[in-house]
Formats: sequence, structure tokens, C-alpha cells
Amino acid sequence: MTIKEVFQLRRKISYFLVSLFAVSLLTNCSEDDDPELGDGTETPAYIVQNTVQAPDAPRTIYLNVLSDLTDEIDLADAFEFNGASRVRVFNGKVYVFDSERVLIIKHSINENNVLVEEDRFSLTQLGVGGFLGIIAFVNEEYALLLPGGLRQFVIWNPTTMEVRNMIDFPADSPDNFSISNIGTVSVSPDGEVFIGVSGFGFGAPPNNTPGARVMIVDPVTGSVDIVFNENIAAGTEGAFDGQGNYYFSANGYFGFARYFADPAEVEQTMTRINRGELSFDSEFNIPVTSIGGLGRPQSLTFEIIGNEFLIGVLDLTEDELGALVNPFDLATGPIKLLRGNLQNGEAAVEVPFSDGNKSMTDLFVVDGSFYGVARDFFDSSVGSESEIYRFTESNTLELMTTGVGWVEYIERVR
Amino acid sequence: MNRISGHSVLLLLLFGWIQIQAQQPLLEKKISIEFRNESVGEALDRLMNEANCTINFRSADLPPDRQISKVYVATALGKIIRELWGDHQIILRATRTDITVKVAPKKGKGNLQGYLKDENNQPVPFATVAIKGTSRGSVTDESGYFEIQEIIEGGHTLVASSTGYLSKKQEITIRPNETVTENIILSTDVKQLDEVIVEGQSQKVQELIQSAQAITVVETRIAKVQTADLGEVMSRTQGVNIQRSGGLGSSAQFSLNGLSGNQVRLFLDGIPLVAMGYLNGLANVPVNLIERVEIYRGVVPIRFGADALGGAVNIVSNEAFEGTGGDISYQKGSFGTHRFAANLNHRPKGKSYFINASGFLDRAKNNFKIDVEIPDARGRLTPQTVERFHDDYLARGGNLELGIRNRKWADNLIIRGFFSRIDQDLQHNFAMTVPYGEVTTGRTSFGGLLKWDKSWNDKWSLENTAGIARNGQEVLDTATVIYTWDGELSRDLDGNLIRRNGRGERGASDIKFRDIRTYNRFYLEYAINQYHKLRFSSAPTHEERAGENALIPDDQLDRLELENSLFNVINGVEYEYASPNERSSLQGFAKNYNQYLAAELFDAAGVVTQNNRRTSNYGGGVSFRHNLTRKWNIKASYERAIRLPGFFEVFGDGLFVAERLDLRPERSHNANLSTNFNNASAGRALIRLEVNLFLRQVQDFIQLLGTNDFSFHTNIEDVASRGVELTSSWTSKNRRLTMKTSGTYISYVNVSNTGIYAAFKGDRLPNRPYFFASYSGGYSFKDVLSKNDGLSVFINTRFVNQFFRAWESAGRRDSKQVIPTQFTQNGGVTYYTTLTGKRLSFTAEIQNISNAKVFDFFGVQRPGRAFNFKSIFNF
Repeated sequence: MTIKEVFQLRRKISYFLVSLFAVSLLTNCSEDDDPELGDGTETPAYIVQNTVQAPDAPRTIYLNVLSDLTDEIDLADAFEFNGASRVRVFNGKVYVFDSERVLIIKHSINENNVLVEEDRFSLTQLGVGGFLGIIAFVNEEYALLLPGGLRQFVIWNPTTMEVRNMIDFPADSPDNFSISNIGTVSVSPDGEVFIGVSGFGFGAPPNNTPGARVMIVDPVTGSVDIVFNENIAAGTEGAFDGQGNYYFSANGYFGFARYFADPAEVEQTMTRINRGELSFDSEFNIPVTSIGGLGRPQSLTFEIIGNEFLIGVLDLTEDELGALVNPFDLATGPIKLLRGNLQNGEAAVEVPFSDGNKSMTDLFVVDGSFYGVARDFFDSSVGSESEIYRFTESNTLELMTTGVGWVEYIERVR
Repeated sequence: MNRISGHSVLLLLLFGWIQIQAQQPLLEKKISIEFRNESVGEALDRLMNEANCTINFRSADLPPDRQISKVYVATALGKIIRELWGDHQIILRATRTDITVKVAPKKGKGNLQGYLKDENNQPVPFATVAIKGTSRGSVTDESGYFEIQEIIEGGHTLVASSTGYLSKKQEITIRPNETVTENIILSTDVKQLDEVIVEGQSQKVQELIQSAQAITVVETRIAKVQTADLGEVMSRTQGVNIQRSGGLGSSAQFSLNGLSGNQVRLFLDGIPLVAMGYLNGLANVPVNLIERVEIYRGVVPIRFGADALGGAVNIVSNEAFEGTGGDISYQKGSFGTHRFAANLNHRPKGKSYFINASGFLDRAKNNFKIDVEIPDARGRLTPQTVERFHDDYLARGGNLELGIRNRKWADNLIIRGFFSRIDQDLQHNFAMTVPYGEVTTGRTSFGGLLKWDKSWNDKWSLENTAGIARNGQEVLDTATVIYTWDGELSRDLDGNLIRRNGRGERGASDIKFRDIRTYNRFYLEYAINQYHKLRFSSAPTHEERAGENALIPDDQLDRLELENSLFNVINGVEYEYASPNERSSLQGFAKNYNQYLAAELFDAAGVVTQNNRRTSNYGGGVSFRHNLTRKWNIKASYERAIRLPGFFEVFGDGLFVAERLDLRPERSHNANLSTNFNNASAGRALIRLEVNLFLRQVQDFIQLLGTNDFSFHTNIEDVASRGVELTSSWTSKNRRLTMKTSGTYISYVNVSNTGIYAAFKGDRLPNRPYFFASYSGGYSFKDVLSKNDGLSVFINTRFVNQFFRAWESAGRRDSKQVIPTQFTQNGGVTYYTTLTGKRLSFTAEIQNISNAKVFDFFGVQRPGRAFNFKSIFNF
């Protein structure tokens, strides 16, 4: 190494050290505003969707951005959106599905936890009239939407915010397939969208088509398969385990079994889909009654983490369930949460939830934990408060926070 | 010198007074005297002593059996003597010391009766008819009839006058013990027409305003000439707000003191509006078929048989008159608007039968411009201004009324039939975010009523109306293509038409409803005496509905085919007191509300079951009015109001809204306190001022709750509405310039302690204006083109302060959805004249002069600047 090279090396080292110092200085100066923590971890941001009713006005949704799910849900600090809109988080972005203006609006969250609109596009040109029902993000280029009233899937690009194409329902789909029959949507590791569908429509037979179905849609190829078992009570809740198996809780929407010719023969079961054979896997068939009760009417009350499942079931007798007429009366029933293992199909833990006027309506998986939202009954004379609980490792319910209105969605954004 | 002069002046004054006293005529001499049960002869004797004079009279002329007991203090001697003879006319002659009394020849008396009409043979009601030079006179009734009794025989001059007409003198001769019939024809004073408009209030309106009821009356005389529809006319009234979703034929929400929808009941001539053929709400009722609108603020008389929570609106149709005549109006305006209305009245003189007919035809394309965003095939949005292309409105209807009057068994017996049909396109969804191109609705209504009224002995009067109305509705929504805002068909990326898979624009339906409503209104009044009245009412109404959705296969259950019925019976009793000096009046009333419902429901197994329910509730109230002075009164009123759940609320719509049979009635404490100043008098500027404070405390508010797929009604809310309304008007002394302002501030606040709104206690109710005001002004010119014409220029402005669409305490300020402040102006000019004695008017008007972008609901844009022309011909 020559002297010149040594000097050049020393100069480069000096530049590097100065640069390092400058970067360090800048980093220290902006520490208060930087979402990066000192150890390099991002400050968490959670989105919580509240739905609020008002006289003469359609429902309004409010989005709170929280740094911690124990933070107060303060509606005065929430972002207001039209009507019965919905929210989903994907890839660090917040997508508002504005059902009144029939728009999908993409937001980011800035360092001050403020929603910043990035882009939007419309669906009215496709004949979408309102409710933007089923939403599934497959990857950065593909997302699926099944709007209410449409018998077509809308495939769109969540990055460029444009419609890609439409996929028709299979020609042999029952006529009464509609958004009201569809429950959870799950995306397989292969990018297929699994949609739990019941043949149940509002009202009584013959408006309904008994039996449980799962629609499997590939947004990229446009293929649609249907798995159907007419002997299984209708169900709408499904989820994937850690191995990519799709489990389906066919647990009797609104006491649906009563509409079968012989209800005693109807299976109310938690089952698994055999993707290859387009069938329900007979080897995995756990009667719901055997794990502690009858099915929950609401969707989104079945979640899986790894090999563990959590399911909410009505804590009613057959007779009590049979006496219900109004679907919303179901929300007044007591519930118990069953946590079990998919390997042996047993419900190892049973956590009853009874809080006067509240019902555990939705389950979520956030940060690798089960969360539940308990809301006041739909037509409550008490209030519209929601409580967010976390299932602890010790299988107890830990109250995280409460909020005004019906909390309908919780997700971590970053 | 000064003192001498002062004494001289005093002496002169004293001397002058003595001279005056000395020269005072004997009959004017002041006498103080007291008579105690004395005969006229005795009284005259004492008078002669007291006055130191002689009174000459014939004993035969003395009034018989007349005893005098009276005290006179410094009273003229002549007056005392005349009073001693009472009603007998006497002639007095006097010298300095003597008085001679002669009894005048006795004159007989006669009566006068007749009708006052205009040159079109139409009655002139509430006009003054007087005998010149006497105190005898009368006011014509609604038919123009007048009667004057005990007029002294001989020749007289009859003077008839009424606002809007030239006064007329007519010589008459009265004969003793006879009734003379004299009909008078008044000529319209075109120069006064605008003064009539300015002064406004008819006798009937003044009676209503002077009653104890909390009432505002909107007369339509001005509106008939101008081009604004009834919704806009009423929105100029204090406390009234009307939110529109578009142009002519669009839906409108009427609110009164903060309460709206079913909480305010709408009537036409005392019968529910929907049972009279008007299915499109109050705002779209043709103005030219209306005489006036009565707005009852929170306290509703029993005669309506109404379960109104926040008050009632009664539209009074054009009143019939003696003779044959009518009017025709035609309006043409921007956005393809044509409005035609006609009235025909035939009530021949001397005949007991009569015929009234009216009809209307409204048509509009409603193709006004709106600002929208049009997406391309990928959904990318481009802002554009486009014309609405699918909002045609066609409404037509008519009434035919046949009647008999003045029979022994009926004062009036009327049979009335009506028919109306509305065809309407729907351009978009409720928020104007999704365009439609094919969905249409149609509504048909027909029915009739039979009305009978009769009075007995000025004590009892009975009015009974029975009727039936059948209202049908169709919704046709079977489009297979998709429209964009510019009227083009939507295409995919390859340019192919996008098909809807048969799901329609709003959800694929081919639905037909029919509602049949039968009702009776019984109203009995008993006048205990001139000051006390009792009233009773009973109003049963039966409503049933059936329908079908043609898109549901025959082998499937159609909830629309379930048969449901609702039977309401509302009874009332009312007491009214009016003080003898007419300064005060008081009304107290009680109401009993009964509801019987019979519902068919699908049970869980799909079997139809029958469900019945009965409820009974009580309410009542009181109204008080006191005239502080001749020009200034105060009113106070209160009602514990009840509103029974309606058909839709109880039974749902058979599609997306479920039945809820256990709904409780809405209840409210309604109170008003108002003061009214009115200095109306001839020859002076007119000033009117009214201030009203109101309170509404609503419990068990019925609210629609649900999801996108399923909803139902439930009782969940308590609301308090407090506010103040101000109205003032000024009219110049010459009646040419007039100005009127009104303003309303409402604190309409959620006070729920429990339920889903408890978290927002203290918030204003969202999506409702809380501060609004209007201004109207005009100036009239006379003798513009001829001596018998006139011209008026006018302007109407309206201001609505911005309001939040959702709860005010929720949401960051920078993200709140706001319905912006609106300020609109209308202006125009009206020209009046006569053509062969018939009245003719032409009006040109510009609405929304500044072309402001106006919203009433969500993002629904209302029409911009519009030009209208209207002509009315009275015959």
C-alpha cells in the first residue's frame, strides 16, 4: 500500500466516520418523530373499525389508529367514512371499501397515525350497487371482491388500484347465492380464495337450498370450484391451519338444520376440505355438539392459529334455539368459546362469555393471538359499546379496551 | 301696568264666560239630577224646576209604563228629555225659556238580505255591507250572503266594500215588516290585487290565527301566481324545513320544529293525504289546487283523528262558490317542466246541487346538470358535468265532487272520487353515487269518500266522512346492462357490454304492492251556549296490504303475499271556552289511541301463522289564547302526543325490512309559547311580528336498524327539540312594498340515557338543519300599460346553515361529512290584467338565480338555475 493509498484510505474512513456521525446526529435529532424505535422496531399501528348508527342517516364508520390495542378508542379522534363501509388492511395499507360511493380507497398511515389517502377507483361501471361484501387480498397484484347483488367476482390490483377482470359464478350455482349467504373468506398458501357459502337465504324454505358449500376461486386463472355436501348443515366459517388445510365450521346458521327433511340426520360439524377431490374430508368430521354446543349464527367466529382453533358457539339447547324466529335474536343468546386442537379435534378449553347485554360476535387473529369483540345486542336498549378481549395463554379473557359503537374489524397495519 | 293688564284680562274672561252662559241654548243647559223610579211625567216636572223652564207636551204622547231611575251629572237638558222617551223618536223645539216636545210619527222597520258577488258571479266572502248614515251593517259569510235586520223604513244607501274590489253604493228602499232581497255585484279592483296579496290574510285565516291553537296558516294566493312548488312555498314558513332529493317529483322530507316523516301527519281537507290520491308527498301537490295550508305545531285538534307526534299539516283545497267558474294555470320551465292545473266550479243559483272538478298534469324531464365522476373500464375516475338522463316524471290526477246542500236532512252531502297516477324514472341511488338507466316506479291511487254534515238549532252540528282509497305501486328493475352517468352503456376492457346477470340496477325486482285504506271520520259539536262548546270525534282507519314479487318462482314463498292488516281507532273529546269579550279562549282535549294488528308470519318451519295484537294509549292537551291588547296576543299550548307505529314499521316491506309486531308508540311532550303582534289597520303601514318558543320531548322514537341485507324498526331513542321561531313582515302604507322574514333555530338534541345513542347524548341529531331563514320581498306598480292592470316584482331567498351528516361529537373535524351552507335566491315579475272582465296573470321567474350548487341530502345535487313561465286565467 502506497502512502497515497493510505491517505486515500484514511480520507475515506474519515468521510465514513463523519457520515456516520451525521447520520447518527440526524437520527437522534428526529427521534421523537421517527416511527423507528431505537432497536429498529416500527411503532405498531392498529386499525379499529367502529360502526355507529344515527337517526335518519345510514350507518357511519369510524377508523381509529391505535399504537396499542389497550389504547382508548376515542371516536372524537377517529376518521369518519360514509355509510356501511368496510375496512381491510393489506401490506401496510388501509383499504376503505366505501359502499355508498362504491369506491375502494387506499390509505397509508403517516408517522402521526393519520390516514393519508393515496389512491381510489370505482366499481360502479361494473354494476356494483353498494355493499362491497367479500374481500380477499391474494398478493400485491391480485385481490378479489364479491359485491352484494353481483354474481361475479371482481379481480383488482391493490397496487395500481385498477380493475383487472371479472370472474362469473359457475353456471350451476344456486340462484339464491348472494352476499347474505357468504361468510368468511380465506386465502390459501397457493393463492386460492376459499369462501364459505351456505344455501340459506333470508326467510324459509323453499327460498333456501340446504347444504354446505365452499367456493374455491383462483383469481389468476379465473377457475371456480364448488365443494358441496347436502347432508351438512349450512355453515359459513372457515380458516386455514399452519399446513394449508382448510377447515370449515358447518355449524348450523340460524338453526338451519330445522329446514332439512330430517333434522336429526343433519350433520352440524367442523370438517375439512379435501381440495383435490373437491369434497368434505370424511376423515375429519367433528360434530359441533360433541365439542360443546350449537353453532353460532354470526360469521367470523371461527379462527385458527397453527393447529389451534377457536370457535364460538351458542350456549343454547335445541329447544331454545328452535324457539328463535328473528335472526337477530341470536345475538341475545349466551355464548361460549371453545379452544381446541385440530390434530385430535377436541375442545380442550371452554371459556363461557356472558356479559349481560353483550355478545361475543367476532373473533380475530392479531399478532398471533386470538382476539374477540363483544358488542351490545343489536337492538339493545342498553347501549352500543364494544369490548375487545384477548385470549391469554392461560386461556382467560383479558379486556384490552372498550369503545363506543360496534367494533367490526381489528388489524395491525405496521 | 302689567298687573292692571292682568286683572283686565281676567275680567274680560269672566265677562265672556258669563255671556256664553247667558247665550247658551236652553236644550244645551247642563243639569245635574237624580231620578229614583219616577214616571216620565214626574221626571219632567222635576226637570222644569231644576232648569227653571217650561216643558210643553201632550200627556197622550208620554211613553206608557216607563219608570226612570238614573243619575245625570252636568248633562244637556235636551239629552235628558230624549232619554226619557227611550226608543220613541221625539222632536224638541226650544225658546229661551220654553221647550216643546212632539212625538215623531212612528216608523216601521224592515230587513235586508242578499248575496255579494263579483263580476264572475263568484261570492265575495267576509265583505262589509252597511246602511249609510246608520249603525246598521253586516259581514258576508263564505257564500257571500249577508243579512241586516231592523232597518228603519224608507230610502237608504247601501255601501258594500271588500279588499280587492271597488266599493259600491246601491240605493235601496226598506218597507216595514218586510225583508228586502238585494244582490250586489262588486267589480274587481285590479289595482288592489297586489294589495290583496300584500295584506294576505282572509277572514278564515284570521279566525284560525286568533284561535287558541298553535297554528300557522300559509295562504297560496301569491304562490298560485308564482312558479315555486308547494315544498318551496312551505319552506319559507318558520319552523318548516323541506329537504329535497332532486327536481319535480323527487322525494322530500318535511320537518316541523325538528320532527319529521311520520311524526308529522299530512291531510287534505282533514283526510290523510295518502288516502286522497297524493302519493308523492306534500311537496309535489299542485299549488293551484290549494286554497291554503294549515300547520298545527305539535298540538293537533281532535277533528283530524290523528296520532301525530310533532304536529299536522292540513291542505285545504280550493273552496266552492256560488255560480259557475274556475281557473286554468299552465307553467313551463327549465328541465322539461310542464305543469297544468284546472278547477271548475258549478253551483247554480237557486239550486241545491253543485259540482266541483279539478285536475292536474305534471311532467318534467329533470335533466338538470350535476357534477359527477365517471369511471373508465378500470375504475379510474374523471370529473365531469353531465345532464341527468333518466329522471322523467309524469303525474296526473283529478277529483270530481258532486253535492247537495241545504236540505232538511243535510246541510251538505258530498260524494267525491279521485284518481291519480305517477310514473317516475329513478336516476340514481339515494346518495347519487350509482347511476341507473332503466329502473322505474309507478304508483296508482283511486278512491272516494262520502261526506255529510248537518246542524240543528244552532246547538248541534255533526260531520261524518267515510272513504276508501286504493294505492298501488310497481317497481320494475330488470335491466341487464349497466349505465354510466353520461347515459352510455358500460363496457369492459375489450369493449364488450358488461351484463348484469339479471340482477337489475337496484336488486332485480318486479314488485307490485297494493294498499287498501278504509276510514271514517266522525265529528260532533255541541254548543252549550255562546261561550262553551263540547266536541267529540272518532276516527277508525283500516289498512291492509298485499303484493307479489314476480321474480320469485311460484313454488317459493313470497313474503309480499302475506296478508297483514292494521286497524287504528282514535277517539277524542274537546272542550272550548271563549270569553264574552272575546279576549281569551281555551281548549282542552283528551285522546284515546287504539291499535289492532293482524299479521301473517312465516314461522321457522315456513308455515304461515296468524299473530294478533292490541294496544291502547291515552293523550291529551290544552291550548290557551289571550289578547293583551287589540293588536297583541299570547298563546300557550301543550299536548301529550302519541304516534302509533305505522304499517311499514310494524309489518316491514316484505323484502329487506322485517316485521316488528311489538313496537311501542312514540310519545312526546309538546309545548308552545308564542306572542303575535299585528297592527293591521287601514291607512297605515302593516307590521306583523310573531315569536314562538317550542319544546318537543320525544320518547321511544322508532328507528330503522339493520345491516345491508336485513333490517327492522325498533324503539330506541329519546330526543329533545327546543327552539325559537321568528316571523316579521312589513307592508308600506300604500301597500306597494312588502318585506317578510322568518328564521328558525332548533336545538334538536339526543337525550337518550340508554340505548345505542346514549354515547352521543347531548349531540344534535345528525343530518337535520338546525338554523334556517328566509326572506321575501316585493314591490307593485299600478296602471302600467292600462288603467286596469298591475305589475309586481318579487324575490325570495332562503338560507340553510351547514350541518353534519353524522353525530357531531364523533370523528375528527377534518374528516367530518358536512352538508354545506346553502343560500338560494328566486326572483321574478308578475303582470296582472283583465280580459273581458276575466282576470289574467303572467309570471316569469328565475329560480336559484346564482346557480348555486345545492344539496339537501348527502351528495344529492338539486337543480341549478331554472327559468319558469306561468299563466293563470280565471273565468
